[in-house]
Amino acid sequence: MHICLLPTETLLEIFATINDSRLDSRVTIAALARTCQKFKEPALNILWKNTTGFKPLLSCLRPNAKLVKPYARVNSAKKRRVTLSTPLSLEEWNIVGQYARRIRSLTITSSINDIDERVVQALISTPTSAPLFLNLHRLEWWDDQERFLPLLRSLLVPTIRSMKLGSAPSLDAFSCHPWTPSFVKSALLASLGTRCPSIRELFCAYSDDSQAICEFVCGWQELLHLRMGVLNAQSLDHLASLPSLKSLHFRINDFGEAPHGNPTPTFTSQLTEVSITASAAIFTWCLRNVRFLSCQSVALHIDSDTELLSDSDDSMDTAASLPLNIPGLMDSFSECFSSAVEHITIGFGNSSGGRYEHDTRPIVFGFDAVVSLLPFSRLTRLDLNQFCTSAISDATLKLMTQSWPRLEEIRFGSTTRRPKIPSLTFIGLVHLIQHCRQLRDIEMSFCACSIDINCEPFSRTIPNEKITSIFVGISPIINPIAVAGQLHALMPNLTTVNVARMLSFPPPFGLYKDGWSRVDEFLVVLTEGAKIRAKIGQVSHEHQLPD
Amino acid sequence: MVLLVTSDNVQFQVDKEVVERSVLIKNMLEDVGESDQSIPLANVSSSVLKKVIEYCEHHRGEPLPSADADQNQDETRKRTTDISEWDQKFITVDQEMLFEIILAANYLDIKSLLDVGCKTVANMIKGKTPEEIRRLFNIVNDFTPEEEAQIKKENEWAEDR
Repeated sequence: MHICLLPTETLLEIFATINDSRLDSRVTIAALARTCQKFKEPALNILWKNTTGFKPLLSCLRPNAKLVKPYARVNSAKKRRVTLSTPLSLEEWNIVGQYARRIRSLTITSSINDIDERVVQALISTPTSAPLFLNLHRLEWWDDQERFLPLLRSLLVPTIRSMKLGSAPSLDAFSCHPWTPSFVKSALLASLGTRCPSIRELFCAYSDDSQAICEFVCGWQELLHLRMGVLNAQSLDHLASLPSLKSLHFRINDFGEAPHGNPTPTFTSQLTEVSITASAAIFTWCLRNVRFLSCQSVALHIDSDTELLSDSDDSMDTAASLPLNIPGLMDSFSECFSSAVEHITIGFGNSSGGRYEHDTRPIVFGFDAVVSLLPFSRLTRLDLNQFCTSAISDATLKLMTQSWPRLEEIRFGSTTRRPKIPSLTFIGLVHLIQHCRQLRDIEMSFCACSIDINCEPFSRTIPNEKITSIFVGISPIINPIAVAGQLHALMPNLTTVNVARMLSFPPPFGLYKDGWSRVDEFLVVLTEGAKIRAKIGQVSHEHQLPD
Repeated sequence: MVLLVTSDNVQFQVDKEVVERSVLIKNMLEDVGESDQSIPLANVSSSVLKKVIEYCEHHRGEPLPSADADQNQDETRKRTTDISEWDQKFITVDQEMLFEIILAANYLDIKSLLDVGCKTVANMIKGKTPEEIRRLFNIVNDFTPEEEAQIKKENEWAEDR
């Protein structure tokens, strides 16, 4: 059999395997397009499938149709901008159109500045009635300039299923640099529902919370993933009715009064992932007015822009003195989410123009807050690292670990910025290892000291072989040699203990850094010793030597 | 056991668990239910089916890619051009057999085998010029010089850094 007898769909599979958007793979696909007629169409379809910017389309034009002119110097490098010398002929539009039709995914970045107004005008006023990008499925638009918005509007075709909008992408897959709010952008967003009715995935960081913006999502019936700047109660009500929704990330600025007689929005669908950002003042109220019955992964980002806590150290200890009442928040959390929850992350931060940024000011998390989380027995990941957990005792941690036997990852109070001496001791760590047999990641502050290893709970604890490193923040430590031995007994494969990286440790924590370094050194010796003992044991077993 | 009949009328008795790596046959069996009826495979010759069965036997019990795997996962799977040692040895056949296996994997809907075939051909093609590809697969250049030059010009951007 000859390769040219393979069906086109199989050739597409082969060519797609080559294509990984690197230069050498693009060159190969372009070579395939010139190999023979049979390869041409599938190769060009793959080559153009995922396109960045408009430069590829403009490069199809005959040389005298376009001009490249210098427009600026940036760091001594000459920037060039493409313009058109004359309006495009029908023949040229046909060429551009035949390639534009192949584009399934279009990403626009700052390189959009490489085209001038003439090109923009040409692209938004094509001579044909059909849109230029007839088969566009995915659009990423990372630019904040209003002068390009008409071009964006012309790209909004009914075939689009996935869209990401913002001023620039971020390295973090879960955030981006948001658009600066403006009337034109709001108007464009408000029309998205009708322009792109088939949207399944929308990622739009935008902080305008006007009614129109919050409600444009109400036009979509088949949404799978939504990451929005701001939503209101009415849009949540619509989203709760969608059986397709799998993940939802949003900010809420004002829940408002629930319309009289309207039931609480209840997400009963297959929604498994939720992240909510709100100010401290309304978070509890928000959680009390919505229900997520199938959600497995929850992230709450509490804005600490203003009112969360005062800077005075005196106010840090008492949750009651804060505008945000932590036990009340946890109580509303347990009302809002069902026992299906497996991952919980709660953090605090500043929102700068809608973008969440971590803030490490301490908020105290005590027993009264823990109680509401205990019923979440399926918990596998808990991240309360930004809380100050100094009030949690060994007995409370024991209760927590017994309630969450499936726990695999725990991050608990080890990145709080103004730490206090923890009440937790090594005994707490032992409870954790004893009751959570699946643990593989621990970040926790505790007072590391020597304990009686012949007594319970230590003597009854089965060692955890999954853990190879732990993070202890700036935990106090006494008697590093004993602590290293205990750690090795609990976690025989532990080789590294990481401590917080700070330029200067607040007193008295600076004293403990050396202690943990010594633990690290001892752990190396202990694990090497264990390996040698295991080898000797193996050899004596093979040769049946007496021990 | 399931009885398969090839295009050259050769019969193969194959374990149900093995043959169900083919989504096409799995669906057929589900539709027909328990039956002694043979399954005709009009598009697959005996020499090719023998190779396909060898592959399915070796990968018996491995998890099948889910039908609703998302597009990103699918593309990532495709792009990984690594082929396991056994699969590499298995697919070291002449070009004619290679394309027959790919065609059969596509027809029988055996995704993992199709992947191995596609990755093998992709690895053969990577980095080659049109002329080298033609030589490799014995392809006749049916473009006029003008046509070839136009495609090159219109897709020049693909070679830009």
